[in-house]
Amino acid sequence: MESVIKVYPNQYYDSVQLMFITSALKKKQGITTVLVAMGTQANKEIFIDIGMNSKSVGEAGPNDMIIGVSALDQATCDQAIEEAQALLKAEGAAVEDKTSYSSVKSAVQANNKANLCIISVPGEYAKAEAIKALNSGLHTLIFSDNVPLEDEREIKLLAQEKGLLCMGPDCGVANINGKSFLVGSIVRKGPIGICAASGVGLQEVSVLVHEAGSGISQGIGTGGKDLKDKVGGLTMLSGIDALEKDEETKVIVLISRKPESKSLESVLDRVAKCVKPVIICFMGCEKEEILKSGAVYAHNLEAAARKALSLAGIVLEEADPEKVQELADAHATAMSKEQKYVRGLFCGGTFVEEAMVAMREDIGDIYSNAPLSEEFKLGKATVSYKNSVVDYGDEEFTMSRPHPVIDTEPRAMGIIREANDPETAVMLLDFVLGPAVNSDPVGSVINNIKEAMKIVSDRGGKLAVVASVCGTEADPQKRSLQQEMLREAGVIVCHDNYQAALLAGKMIKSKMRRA
Amino acid sequence: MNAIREQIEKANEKVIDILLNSQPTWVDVKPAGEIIPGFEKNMLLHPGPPFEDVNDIVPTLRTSLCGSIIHEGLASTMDAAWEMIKTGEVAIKPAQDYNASCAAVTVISASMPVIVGKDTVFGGVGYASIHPGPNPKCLRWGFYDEDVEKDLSWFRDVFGPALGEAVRSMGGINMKTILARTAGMGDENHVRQPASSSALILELIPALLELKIEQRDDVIRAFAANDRSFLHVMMAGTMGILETARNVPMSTVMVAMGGNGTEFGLQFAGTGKQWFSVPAPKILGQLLNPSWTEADLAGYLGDSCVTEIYGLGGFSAIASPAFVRLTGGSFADAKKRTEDAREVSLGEHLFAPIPWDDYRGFPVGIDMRKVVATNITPTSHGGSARLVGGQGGAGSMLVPMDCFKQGLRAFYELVRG
Amino acid sequence: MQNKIDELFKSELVVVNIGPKMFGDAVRKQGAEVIQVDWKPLAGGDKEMIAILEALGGI
Repeated sequence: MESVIKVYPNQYYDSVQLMFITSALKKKQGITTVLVAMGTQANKEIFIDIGMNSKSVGEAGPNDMIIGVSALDQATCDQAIEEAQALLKAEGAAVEDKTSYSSVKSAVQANNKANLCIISVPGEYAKAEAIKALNSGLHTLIFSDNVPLEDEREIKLLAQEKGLLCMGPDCGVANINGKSFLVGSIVRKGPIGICAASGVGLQEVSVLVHEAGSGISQGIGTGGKDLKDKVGGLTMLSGIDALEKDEETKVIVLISRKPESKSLESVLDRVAKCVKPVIICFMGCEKEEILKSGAVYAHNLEAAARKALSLAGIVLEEADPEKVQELADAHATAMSKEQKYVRGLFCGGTFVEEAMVAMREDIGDIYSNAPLSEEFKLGKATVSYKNSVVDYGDEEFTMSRPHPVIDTEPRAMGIIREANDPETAVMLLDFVLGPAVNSDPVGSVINNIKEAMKIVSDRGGKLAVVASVCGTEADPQKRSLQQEMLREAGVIVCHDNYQAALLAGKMIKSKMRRA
Repeated sequence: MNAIREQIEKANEKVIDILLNSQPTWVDVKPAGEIIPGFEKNMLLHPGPPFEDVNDIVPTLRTSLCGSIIHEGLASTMDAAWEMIKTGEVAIKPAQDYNASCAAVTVISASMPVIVGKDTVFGGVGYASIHPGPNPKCLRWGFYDEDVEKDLSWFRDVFGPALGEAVRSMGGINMKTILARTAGMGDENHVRQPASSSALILELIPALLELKIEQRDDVIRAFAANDRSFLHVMMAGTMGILETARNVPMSTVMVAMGGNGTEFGLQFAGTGKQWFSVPAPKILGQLLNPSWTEADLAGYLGDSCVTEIYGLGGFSAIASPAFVRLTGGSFADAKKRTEDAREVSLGEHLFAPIPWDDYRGFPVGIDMRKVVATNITPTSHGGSARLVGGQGGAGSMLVPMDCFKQGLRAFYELVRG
Repeated sequence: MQNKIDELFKSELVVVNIGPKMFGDAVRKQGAEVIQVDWKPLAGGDKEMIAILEALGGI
């Protein structure tokens, strides 16, 4: 075994880029361990952890890039380092013909029409960049997370003072003026305006609206923590103002996981005064409380889309309960005796919640790394217990790797792991499309799905795989192509995540009855 | 804008105005003790920051210091001279604190002739020793014996006064004009300057021919045989400019830079006479003798890099791809060195454009805030000294980041009160 | 307070992208103008220096 560690002083790359390169190198033959990362304290500890402790690593600073490789022989190490450099160059080449700038200020000086700023730098630097962008008169879209709530409030108050829109921190999806941002899907323009504290919630409702033939006026992502009381829902409030004023918007949809009480109160107060129809999907909130504000209540993302479409004059059909039951029974019959539980493997955080709520009525409480109530928290996300759904976008997975909508490998391994558990009966999956996510989300795990099915059938059982694809025909991966690939492999493809979860729940219930 | 920021920007604008619009002019040659304010008979000027402990002095500089004491007639042996340094009987001071500069292992003593460089716009005056010529055995490279003493005496008695008279008779020579005329001739004007030195020789020879002294031809021969003479003239000129620049409070611009072989240090306008030093890094590149190694070299030694404060040398690397090659770099490295300096500078000299750099001028006015904020530190060029004496080689060095950080920390303490 | 959000909804987007190029490229492919900012941590991430630079009014 040979190890090579190289430090490149004063060569800054973003961690997303480096994690991507790390994953690419990991797949190479002969490489046992590899890490490409900046020399931050946290990263240096990882280098030490994986046995790549050297003086040069110790001396490296956060502006120095480190490549560490262990492989069977020296040549493989050298090759991997060369490859890493080639990949980094390729990253740079994408926009080499365009001029790039060293600061927001110089970028705005070069183009005074600039009006929106995407910020995706490490969390600790996000506030400074956001303030610079706002002070330069730019609306902001902050992908960075791990920004303290006090700082988030400060940024948002500044935005408010300047009359600017501040989406995020921790905003993964937005759709402004018909353009999809960050990991969102491409959808057409239309009468439905969305303001969401959930990235995948915003994406799912936009996608369902688009697929039903309508469209989105604006999709404002507030960032996942906007409705914490320390932030106070500042972006959601200014988002409602903006959508109410926007002539194109006829219907407003608000989406969030359960807001904290004061924020909820101020949002509902604002909604009560809104002159346009508002649909609220705040998962975990009491229906009566929502209704008091005069809003339409939606208990999940699919319902939110359906009710918004209905106000826009379009009917989105609900699944026929009898057919769902029939399908569930048919699959339950084919399963072996040991097969008992549903295992959900998700990319979208809000999908996890939507799925648990959808299945709870049929199968009771569900274990998760993001459970509905703390007592059902999984000890380890990679060790399922009874009925379990796992959010692969949780910090535990994204500390040292890109989000699963980009890096599909951790979930691909999870699929095999669950298949090796004789108690797995149903596998529930989501797939998320868009211009900035994995170029082939289904293709990159389809062999794992096939293998999982084979593992179970070799054991004398039958694995039911239920999936939904959150994306549109306009996305580069194409919704229909991704769905087709799944169907060909024998996966049951549902219209949306809610329906997929509902079916999975019914399958388990049907199997329980049989036992 | 924040009030402190406003004051800093204003002060820096003033310093940049001085750096850009000054007219460094060689006006005279005079004995150091006569012309340098504050100079005393039992005093020596040395390159770089001050020594806390004279025992830290590297052997080659020790030779120059002790040799100078003998040259002044204050002692008759090297050991006796060293004793005077140790007891403080002879004070050793950083040249740059006296608006003077000592190239390589140069030491300036009272009777030594110095080039007087005057900025005719803002009035500052600076000093540097006379370049001793191509002979490698000289005090400038840390040697002292009878031959060196003979040369030093000739510089004092004949060469220095002759040059002074010639320059005075011409009413001074403007260095900016020479830099402008020779722009694009391949010099970066710190470690390589055959073009500017030739131009200087052409200017001065007619005046030297008019001298009514016995050794006139020897003087002309010595001056014309030296393609490095411009360096010391430019050092004196730069020191003259910096005399004004360094007196601007609240400015974050670098105004002093040099190494004493043990420590390397910087000064900034807003922090006065305080040096910000680190153990001197070595100048790496080419060694003159392949049997030597880096271990034979002293740490950064010399003040000739004051010319870089004016934007020459490493900051002008793109002007001299040939020299960058010698330091182990490529054309792209030459470009990068200048670009890096631009990134952390506040001004650009437009009077000497370089054709292959899109006719751009060279950066000037390193702002410690920019260096720290961007984490980009400029590259300095230089010649390296051997510990035992003599030139070891030539190359480049990244100006240590820590000097800038120390400076910024001290500046902040000062501003905060 | 002047509200500029309405103005944004009616304007052509000109996007400044600070961070990974992929997010800027995705928007550029949809036809919006994108200006890339190659971001590096201030002062190489030196916390003390960042605080001093800030106290001096930034740069």
